[in-house]
Amino acid sequence: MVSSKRSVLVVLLGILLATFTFACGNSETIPLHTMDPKSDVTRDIQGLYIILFWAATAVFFAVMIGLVYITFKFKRKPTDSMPPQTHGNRPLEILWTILPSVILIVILIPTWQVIYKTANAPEGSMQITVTGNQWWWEIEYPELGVKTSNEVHVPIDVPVEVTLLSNDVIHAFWVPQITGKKDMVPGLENKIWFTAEQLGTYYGVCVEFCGDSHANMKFELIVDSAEDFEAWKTNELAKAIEPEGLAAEGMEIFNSKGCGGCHTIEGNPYALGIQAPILTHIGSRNKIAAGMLENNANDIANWIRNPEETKPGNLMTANGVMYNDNNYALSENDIQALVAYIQSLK
Amino acid sequence: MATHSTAIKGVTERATYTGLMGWITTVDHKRIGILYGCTAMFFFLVGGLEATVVRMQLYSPGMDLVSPGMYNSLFTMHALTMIFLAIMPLGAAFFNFIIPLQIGARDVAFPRLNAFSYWVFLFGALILNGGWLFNTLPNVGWFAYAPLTATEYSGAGTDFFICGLQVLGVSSLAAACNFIVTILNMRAPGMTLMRMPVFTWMTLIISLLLVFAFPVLTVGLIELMFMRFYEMPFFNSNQGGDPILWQHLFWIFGHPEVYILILPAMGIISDIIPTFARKPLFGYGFVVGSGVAIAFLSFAVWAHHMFTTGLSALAVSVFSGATMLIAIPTGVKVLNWMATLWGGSLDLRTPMLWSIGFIATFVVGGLSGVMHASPPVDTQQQDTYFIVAHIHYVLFGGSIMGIFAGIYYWFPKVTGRMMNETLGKWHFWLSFIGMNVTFGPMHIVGILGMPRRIYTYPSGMGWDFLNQIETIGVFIIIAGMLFFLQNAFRSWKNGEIAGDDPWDGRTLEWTIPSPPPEYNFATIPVVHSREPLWDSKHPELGDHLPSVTGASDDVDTESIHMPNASYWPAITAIGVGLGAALLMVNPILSISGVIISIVGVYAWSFEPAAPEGH
Repeated sequence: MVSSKRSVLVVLLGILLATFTFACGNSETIPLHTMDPKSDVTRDIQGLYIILFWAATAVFFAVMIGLVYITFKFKRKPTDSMPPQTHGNRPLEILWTILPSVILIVILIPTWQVIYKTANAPEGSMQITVTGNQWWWEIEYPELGVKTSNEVHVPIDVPVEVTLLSNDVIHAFWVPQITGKKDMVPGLENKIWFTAEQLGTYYGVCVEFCGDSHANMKFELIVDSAEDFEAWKTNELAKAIEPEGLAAEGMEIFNSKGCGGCHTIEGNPYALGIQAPILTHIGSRNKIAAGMLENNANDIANWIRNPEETKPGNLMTANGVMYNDNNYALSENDIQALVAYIQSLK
Repeated sequence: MATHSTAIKGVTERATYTGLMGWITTVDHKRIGILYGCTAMFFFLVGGLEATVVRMQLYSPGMDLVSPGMYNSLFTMHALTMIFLAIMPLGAAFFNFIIPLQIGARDVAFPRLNAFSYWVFLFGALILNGGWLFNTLPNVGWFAYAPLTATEYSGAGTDFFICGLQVLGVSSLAAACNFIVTILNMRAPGMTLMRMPVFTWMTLIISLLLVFAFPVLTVGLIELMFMRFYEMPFFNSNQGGDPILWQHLFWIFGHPEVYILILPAMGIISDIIPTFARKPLFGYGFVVGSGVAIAFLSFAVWAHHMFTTGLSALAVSVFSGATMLIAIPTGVKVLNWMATLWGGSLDLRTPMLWSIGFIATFVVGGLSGVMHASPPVDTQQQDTYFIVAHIHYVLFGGSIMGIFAGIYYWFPKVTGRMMNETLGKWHFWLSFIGMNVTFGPMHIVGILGMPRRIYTYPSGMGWDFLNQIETIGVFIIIAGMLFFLQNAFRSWKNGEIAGDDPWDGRTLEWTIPSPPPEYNFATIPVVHSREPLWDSKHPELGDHLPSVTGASDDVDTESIHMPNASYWPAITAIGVGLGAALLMVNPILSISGVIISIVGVYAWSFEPAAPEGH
């Protein structure tokens, strides 16, 4: 009997140990790790989480050990006589009504503190607007005049307020190390804010189910030093580079297939569309297709060849003439030229 | 018992049918309970199969077992099936079979309405699953957030969702009204409210929750239907509607719904634990009071599903506080169950194992629930696998564990035969281990940031190993289910004969034969205490008057007033189902369903409820 009790205890401790082993690690190896805060807001959330975690762990072990102990101790034996017919005990009942209330107060007070602390952005925060679309992100810096897609840059140690909008269904903005989840609801203007505290590239995803390719809606948030941010901003504000050679051929194809009906490329008069990601400086981004593919010739070619493979249900396949009319289909040469054009858009 | 043969003779003089027609026309609460139970168990297997495919798709990064669209349909249908077609009707199966027996009644208050509820439920279930035939299943999640449900973004699957749930709502409301009236009016003499078994109490509470919660969803679904069919703006922001309004309506229903799913299990184990501990429930008043408190609070916490939608800091703070309050009555219940076990003589047979297992796993779900009741923490957990872990510890570790406890406990009463203990223990241990292996790692993978409702994930996210373990866990659960099915089929026909009172029971259902005769109690018992059977077996232990219990040999069972069988409830239900199904084709056509229903209700009203002379 003692050995079974001990083995149950070993299992419980094993669970705790396994939890810790897995929950260790950090965002370097586990890109969406929720317990590796890199901003003031997520650090506050983390502090709260730790309190809750230990409170829950304590209650878990108290109940489990109690339950196992009781089960073994009072297991029926042939010699058992009729157990005393206890109907209750009022002081005990009152005690264990009050006890959980005390635990709850202990977690409710810091909860309320963090809610109010993180509710409103500090005065003068830098403004960013992010708009969710099926399945990509439109990013605008109204004060700077910068418009881009799928890659958010913020300067370190500067409070940033992000206004969240949506053009179609509900999405949600989440960069676990930088900011908690907030929904992007069509018709509403939700806001989050944070001050990033460590340089680096952070992984973000949509975390509200938004249709077929919900799993394929990602982005990167890059925390730059003040100088890097300035350089990035200057580059973003410039018009697209005038393409040469193969890239110029690529632009011809881009324009002739009507790609500019949906995509914007500042400086290309035939690319003014607003239904799809802005491509003005796509060559300088880390990823393409909203965080799905690497920004290299192979991945870009694959994306153009068959967007459906990466992002089922996307509008490019649905609306692009080259996928719906054999007369306009892209040849392999066309694709290579387009890749060159895209890569030239630094 | 000599009365049985005469009883059968008495029964045959009423309008009755045999065979399949007998089941279709039955108004006997016990047979309706069996119909509910078998149908729900079938859908439990369907929902389990859907989950298995989902888990196999997530076994490793980049799996290509099903298409993204199919995956989205599968997780949507898994949730809808488990909630509306498995757990709720399994609860209904217990209400039907057990409540009249526990309160010393011969049937429910409205036997034909009861039959109607079952048939409407069946047709609702078929409509909800109708998408399988047309390859257009609901694929917007069971919560169906607008505007993803608008015609621009989703197909006919959403119509099956709307019409299916609408019909299921009719069934739930009819059943809930029936049980409220039954429990309030048909208790045996002497059974005051505070002498009712806890399972009966929980059924009363759940029925009240249904009556108040389901109409809110009905309103939401009607608005959604008008938005889809007639381009009305309700939840469509392009036309000035408000997508958040749908979320409020859905969760004002949806949160009480969670308690509709868990309270039956709490009631079941509150009856089982005293039986197998040979000790009354510790703090009966507090356990019942906690159930009432949970029910009240459940209407004040819905917005904790919406902490990230942009509610004000004040609203978020209030809903967070209200949500945490629920931990108090829940904690009180857990401690009272443990105090009941304390000092008892615990017979660890299958129903008791499931009940103790319930406490262990439900506590985990409760604790993770308190964690994301804190809104800032919720912003890092919502829509991750942490929440998936939470809801499965509550619904599988809670509701399903409690329901299996109830099945093993009352199977002898339903069939007259015992389930096999060895197979039952295999079932328990495989399920208990399997459920922890499947859902336990989801806590960690959620903390590691894995979003839910994604059909695939890349490698290099740190989630691969844990997902593999989870998928393996599913097959442990399936192995357990095979033991259960084998056990149920075998024991139904060939199990050991149970007798009236196989568990040394405490409440009225164990005073009558197993399976009970159609009229349940030859004489209506007179109750003088909370545990009438136990007190009459052990008069030395209590200071109550011994209760007069059910079976009596010198009663003319021919004179017992029992209702006529009728096929009108089923026909009326066909009208409801047809009307809802045709609504998706053309609203004009659905009038034919309405006409059938009107004819059904009319004929039903003029049909004699009982044989002449009663």
